[in-house]
Amino acid sequence: MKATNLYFIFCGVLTVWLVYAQYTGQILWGGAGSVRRYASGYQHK
Amino acid sequence: MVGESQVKVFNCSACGAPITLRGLGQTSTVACGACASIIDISDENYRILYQYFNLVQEGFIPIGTRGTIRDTQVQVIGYMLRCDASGEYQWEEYLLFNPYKGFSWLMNYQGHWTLIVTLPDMTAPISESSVQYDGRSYKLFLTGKARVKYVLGEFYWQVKLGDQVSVADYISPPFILSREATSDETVWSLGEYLAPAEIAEAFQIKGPLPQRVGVGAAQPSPCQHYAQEIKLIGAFFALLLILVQLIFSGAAQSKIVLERTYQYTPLHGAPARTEVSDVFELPARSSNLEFAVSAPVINGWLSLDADLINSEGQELQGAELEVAYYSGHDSDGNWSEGAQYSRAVLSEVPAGLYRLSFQTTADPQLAALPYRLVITRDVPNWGYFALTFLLILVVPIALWIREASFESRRWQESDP
Amino acid sequence: MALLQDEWSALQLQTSGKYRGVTFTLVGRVRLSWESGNWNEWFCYFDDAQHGWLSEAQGFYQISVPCAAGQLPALNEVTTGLSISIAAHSYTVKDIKKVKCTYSEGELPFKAVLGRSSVSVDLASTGNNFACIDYSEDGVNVYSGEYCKFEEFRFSYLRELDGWRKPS
Repeated sequence: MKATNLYFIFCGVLTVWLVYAQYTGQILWGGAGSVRRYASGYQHK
Repeated sequence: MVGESQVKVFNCSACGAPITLRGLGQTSTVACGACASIIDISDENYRILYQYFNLVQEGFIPIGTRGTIRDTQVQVIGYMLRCDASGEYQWEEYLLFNPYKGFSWLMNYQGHWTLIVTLPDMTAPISESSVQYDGRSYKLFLTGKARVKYVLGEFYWQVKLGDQVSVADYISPPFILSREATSDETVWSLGEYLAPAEIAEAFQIKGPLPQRVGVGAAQPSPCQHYAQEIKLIGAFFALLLILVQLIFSGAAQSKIVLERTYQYTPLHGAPARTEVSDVFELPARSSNLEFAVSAPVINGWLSLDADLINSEGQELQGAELEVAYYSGHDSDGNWSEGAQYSRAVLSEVPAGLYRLSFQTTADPQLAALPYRLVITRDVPNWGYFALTFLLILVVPIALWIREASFESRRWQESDP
Repeated sequence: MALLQDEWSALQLQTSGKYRGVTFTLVGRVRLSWESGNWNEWFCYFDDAQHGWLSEAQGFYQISVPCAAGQLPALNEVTTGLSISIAAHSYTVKDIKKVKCTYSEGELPFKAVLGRSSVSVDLASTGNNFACIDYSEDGVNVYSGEYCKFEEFRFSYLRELDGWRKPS
């Protein structure tokens, strides 16, 4: 059934995504504090 | 017309109109199409069994219609309207004939079609609420009575208006087992739900079929055939995700790269000082980085605003942590709010040498106090796992809700 | 007894079929009528020199062979629901009908068949097994057999019926 094939692929993609995120140390939500990311860092003095 | 050479025609004993018999001698009564009187055709003189003068009404599929259902050629030779004891619920039953296969029935109730065959015998185990037949479990759906309200065409027994039977229906969608009993005999039959499209195809019906009302007793749920597969796939990947997460959590190094206690002194209005930590190294591949600050703050707050500086002097990521803790005593007893620590986790920090540049501010009322900063590399993290896990479960859950709603609509019609 | 012209069946004399691997041929027929209808009983010869009956009623086909009578209740003792043991199997009475033979053709095992009256008692057992006891003036005959679907017999030399395709 086509629907089940799509779902299978969807689940596979999610699994790969999790593996990649964990491997590179990505965080979904930083925690109680606020985290920030600068697109291009500015030079520190 | 092809196939009509072995039919027999005679004149109705009541009104004289010609009656065509198609049952090849296997039927025993016929209802006249002109005056609806019921004639006994096993009697030489075609005696009238029941005479009444009523408007003749044809069923949705006219008598004489030929079709092919499930690879079997059939012809509609009889039509019957039956109703329950109250007369409120009414349904059509078409008697189908094939000279090799014998008789079968097509029932139409509120647009739901069921193909029914009589079983020669029923020896399956029967309990009050279910029947085990041919490897399936059938649940009791309704009990009641069925009364003949109107007949047209031929039948293989002596049907009379008002004939009543006790009925019990057991379902295992798309199948339905029915028991019809009189004081003399009990007859079981097995039915299979057919989609309207199959009926239209079988009898080459061009126009629209009657609209279906509600959910049929034996109607299979729309996602029945793939619901099982989806659930299995979902369960498999859910477990796989858990496994992946456990492996990564287990392998997380949680390496402390910096641990230092600093001293905060009240600013008294002066701007916050910028401090710089020692250099620390983040080895190997990119990973997460946790900042944790703890301080013995009581009824106040301490805030640390930090930036990571890499070996090229760039500030790419930072975090702000606030430690706030309040406690007191009121009529209900002791209370406390907040915590004496705060942590934040930075995402995907590449390997390399870093320093931390930070500014510490605090509630002006607080006196000097020490605070400890701990930076840990590669901590276990459950965020992405929670997200992917939920996303995987969305489909099976949505399916389950849809099926549950379908089934509840089905069982609304039940009347055991 | 008048021949009823309007009576057709998919089976005819010399139709052959297979039951449990043994081929049989229909060599005779009687039509039995009762209060509310009628059906055909075909007399058959099996290839292994046995004989038996193929009952054809409203699309239901039953094949049976004679079996030993054993201990049987008298006709006036038979009621529906009664348990009777035939050839070491237990059967339950399902149906009791007064029947009369209204037509016959071909080879048949007894004379003076037309007009013969009897009481036919149908019994059922587990699965598709059934038995039939025939009480008449010339004695009691017992048959035991099985319900089968039309396709299971793999009939050949069926009657040609206009406009109806024979099942393969």
